[in-house]
Amino acid sequence: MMHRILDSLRVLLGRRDFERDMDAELRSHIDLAADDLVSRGVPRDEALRRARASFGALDGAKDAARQSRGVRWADELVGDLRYAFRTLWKSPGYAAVAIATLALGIGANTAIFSVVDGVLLKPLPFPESDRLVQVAVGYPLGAMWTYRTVPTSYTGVAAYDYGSHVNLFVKGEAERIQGRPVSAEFFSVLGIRAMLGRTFRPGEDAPGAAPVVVISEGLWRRRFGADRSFIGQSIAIDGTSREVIGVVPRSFAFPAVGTDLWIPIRLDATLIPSVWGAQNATLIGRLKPEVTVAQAAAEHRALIPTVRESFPFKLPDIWGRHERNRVEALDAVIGQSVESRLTLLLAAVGLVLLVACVNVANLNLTRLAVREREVAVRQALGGSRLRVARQLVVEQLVLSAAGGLVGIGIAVIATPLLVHWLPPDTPRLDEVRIDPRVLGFTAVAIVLAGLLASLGPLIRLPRIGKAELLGAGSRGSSAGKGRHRLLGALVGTEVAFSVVLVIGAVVLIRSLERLLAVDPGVVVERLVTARVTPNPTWCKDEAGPCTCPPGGAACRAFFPALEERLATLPGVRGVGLGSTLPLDGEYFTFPMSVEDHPITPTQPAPLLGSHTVSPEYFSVLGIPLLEGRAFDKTDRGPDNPVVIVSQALAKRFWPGISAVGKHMKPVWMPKMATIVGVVGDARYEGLSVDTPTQDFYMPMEQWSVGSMLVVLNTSAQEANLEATLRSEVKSVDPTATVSQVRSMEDLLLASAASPRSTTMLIGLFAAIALALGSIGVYGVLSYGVTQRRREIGIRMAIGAEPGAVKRMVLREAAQLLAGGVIVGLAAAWLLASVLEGFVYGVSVHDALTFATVPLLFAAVGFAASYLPALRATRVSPTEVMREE
Amino acid sequence: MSPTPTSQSPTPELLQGTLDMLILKAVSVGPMHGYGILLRIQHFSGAALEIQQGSLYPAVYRLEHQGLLASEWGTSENNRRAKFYTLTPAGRRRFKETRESWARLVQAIGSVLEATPADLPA
Repeated sequence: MMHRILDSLRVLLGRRDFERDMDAELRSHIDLAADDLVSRGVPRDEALRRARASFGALDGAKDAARQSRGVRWADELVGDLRYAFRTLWKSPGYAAVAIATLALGIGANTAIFSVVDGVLLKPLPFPESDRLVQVAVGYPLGAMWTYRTVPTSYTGVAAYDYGSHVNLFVKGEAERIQGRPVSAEFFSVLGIRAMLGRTFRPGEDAPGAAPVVVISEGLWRRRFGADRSFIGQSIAIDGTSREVIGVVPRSFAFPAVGTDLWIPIRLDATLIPSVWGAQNATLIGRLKPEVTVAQAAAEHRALIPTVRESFPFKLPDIWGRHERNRVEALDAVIGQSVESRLTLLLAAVGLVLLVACVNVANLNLTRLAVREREVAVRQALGGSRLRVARQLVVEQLVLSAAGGLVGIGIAVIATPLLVHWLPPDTPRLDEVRIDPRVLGFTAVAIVLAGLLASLGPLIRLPRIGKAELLGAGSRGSSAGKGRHRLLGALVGTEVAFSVVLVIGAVVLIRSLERLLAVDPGVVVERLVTARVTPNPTWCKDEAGPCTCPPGGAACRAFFPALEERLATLPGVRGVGLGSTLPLDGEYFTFPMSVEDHPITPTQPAPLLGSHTVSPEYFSVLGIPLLEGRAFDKTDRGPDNPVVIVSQALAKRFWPGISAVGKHMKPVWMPKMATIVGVVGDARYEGLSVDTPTQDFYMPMEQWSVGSMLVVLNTSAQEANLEATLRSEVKSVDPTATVSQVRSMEDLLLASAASPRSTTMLIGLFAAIALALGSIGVYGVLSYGVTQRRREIGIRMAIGAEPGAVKRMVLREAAQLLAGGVIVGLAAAWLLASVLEGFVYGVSVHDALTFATVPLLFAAVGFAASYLPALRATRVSPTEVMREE
Repeated sequence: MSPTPTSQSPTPELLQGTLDMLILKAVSVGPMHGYGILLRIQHFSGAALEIQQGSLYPAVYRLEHQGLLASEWGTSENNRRAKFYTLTPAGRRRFKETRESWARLVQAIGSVLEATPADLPA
């Protein structure tokens, strides 16, 4: 094969030499044959004549020989290309519309594919990433002791912890940044080397190891001026001084985009709460080359009892036996959360490309009608049908390639916008780019689009015969009608595709509307929130929740002091503090002991939503007090622990009777807390979760935590407020940080970020499809009017009213649309289930949508056909007669 | 011996692909130009096979395109410049293969044609 390609290339490049060589060879052949004849006594002239005659047609032989050397098709291709450019150059309007249509379709597909590729398909940017797996999630860090020694499937296993932010204190400036506790194997398992210094060594996560930190190139440049001598210096992280041992390249962002630094986890067997209590670690591993994911998974399952037995306290036998506890390829796990959303977008944008192709096929067909005479003449002159067909395809591919190039331009502009539109927690967004992989996809799209768009003319081509040559084709003959039927079918297809997209988009828009109209259970207006985190060394609470009373006195004093200062600020009408906020998405549950509901083997401890709040929290957020009292300043100290519960929790445990006066506690606490009040339900898990969460609230002066969200009810501008807030926090504790300053409205919008971006994009695609569809309808109708000028002229000459003519065109438009809309509705009905899981508060078979979208298409169709209809009424009978 | 200068061959149509095999055979006995290849085939067949001159070059070019023949300009026995073809190693292999499969085919067809009622299965 290789030899043939090279040979063809050689011949093509040395084309003149090849021809001269062939001529010389054939001449020599005839000379030799003549020589033979001469030697047998034939006169020279006669011999030459006979030799030539016996050889036969020289040109035919040459042509066949050229074909043998793989030259002819290339010759013809060059000819076809030249012809395509010439014809397109002669009809710039057609070319421009076709190129623009395809550019839109291919550009949108390229942009969406670049996101799909970056987020889902591309291998992770680690060496031999196909061998990386997620071993377990929701495991205790202590499981590492088992996984370091027992399993045989891995060359290494590493763990990283849930915590994702730390306080960095450098040169008097405190900043909240992304920092991640990881085990010592983290970088070696992923195969990442430091660009400066080194990464962690074994044992650096063991008790007593010197405190160290690895920082990202981004942080190194931003905060430390890219100083190469910075390695070996110390920085304060969460109040602990750590030696910077290495810098890793900016391209490395794991487990989350924007991670600024990595510190070793503390695998200290004496820290029971943090090593065993918080089961929030993720274990990742690198498989040995010969081990499959399935083998590792089997080994993992077999190890569950071993890990369970290694806990310092007894766990139920069912621990670890849930569906999600399984070994999975790391790249698959990372894209999981967005896979279905992105697939939906890709399908939608694929439909847009189909609509674009059908539109161009349509354009093509109407243009072919004009060229039918030319095509017939070429055929009559001996041009083979295949040759004509190939020419049409080549012309279409040229158009498609031009559209593709413009489309790549569109994608280059659109992709960054797209990345910006997607929810910021979409994984691997930093890896989205237009690279050779994406361009390969574009190339495939270009070829497919070209072939699809030439389908219309290709179907039509075999029917073009001598009739067209005789001029019958232009007179509404049967051939003309066949062409018109095909056009109608294509427009119908286009309309059907658009209907599917528009219905999908409308259902999503209605769903988003419903979602944003949900009562979040809290006040949203005029509230500004910010996370405030004091120096964590004050608030040493290894287990997350403080075991009462927590940490040092300084920590417990910090938030009340801050609250007091903020309350006196001008323009601030109320200050609330909480460990979590409704709509924020962060939500923690504790296993609880509840009065009247003893824990039994069949009735494990209920997991209830835990919140630590200031007394004003409820009134500032507008969460109503339904029963009992709110917290007050007397709720402090360990002697009389109190809690407030949500209505849903009260109803669950004490239906029909008052919860006030009952008792409950986190299972590990020594003392029961008294329920002093019941408040309304708030949506902590996001807008779309309709079942109210069951929550309990603890007063912050009894159960303080290391980091709180401040909520200010204020009339001041947010920007001014942020500066004031920072200076107030600084004056209470210069090492405390302020982060995530947002208005409550932002929070509300952010909680609907995923459905919003999906809806926006699909809405955009539907709008494009609708526009292309109406262009298609318009094109076919105007063409029909042009074709039937004579008929219309005669009708009008014998007395047809302009109104009747207009109605005739509009009726035709209605027929065109009706078929497409009906098929589209049916298809949309059948396909609707793909939207299941994306919609809230509205059926995927929403009756209103299915009823109104046809009206929308009727309106658009009417608008698209109005101009052609008007043109039809302006046909002048006398002019038409004269044309004949 | 010389070819009878006719454009219509009186011989039966050559089986598809057979011409390639014959050309390879003709060249395998020594480098030869196009005209000489024709003569050789005619000679070897006892004048029973006659190749249409016009179909020779497409076949020769195809074989060269496939890397089975190599060509070089040289001088003929009567001092004319002519392009001489030789077998490449790939061509030699191909010739051996086609000759063997041809022999098998001939044998198989022969057995069929020679079969008598006694050869029918019981």
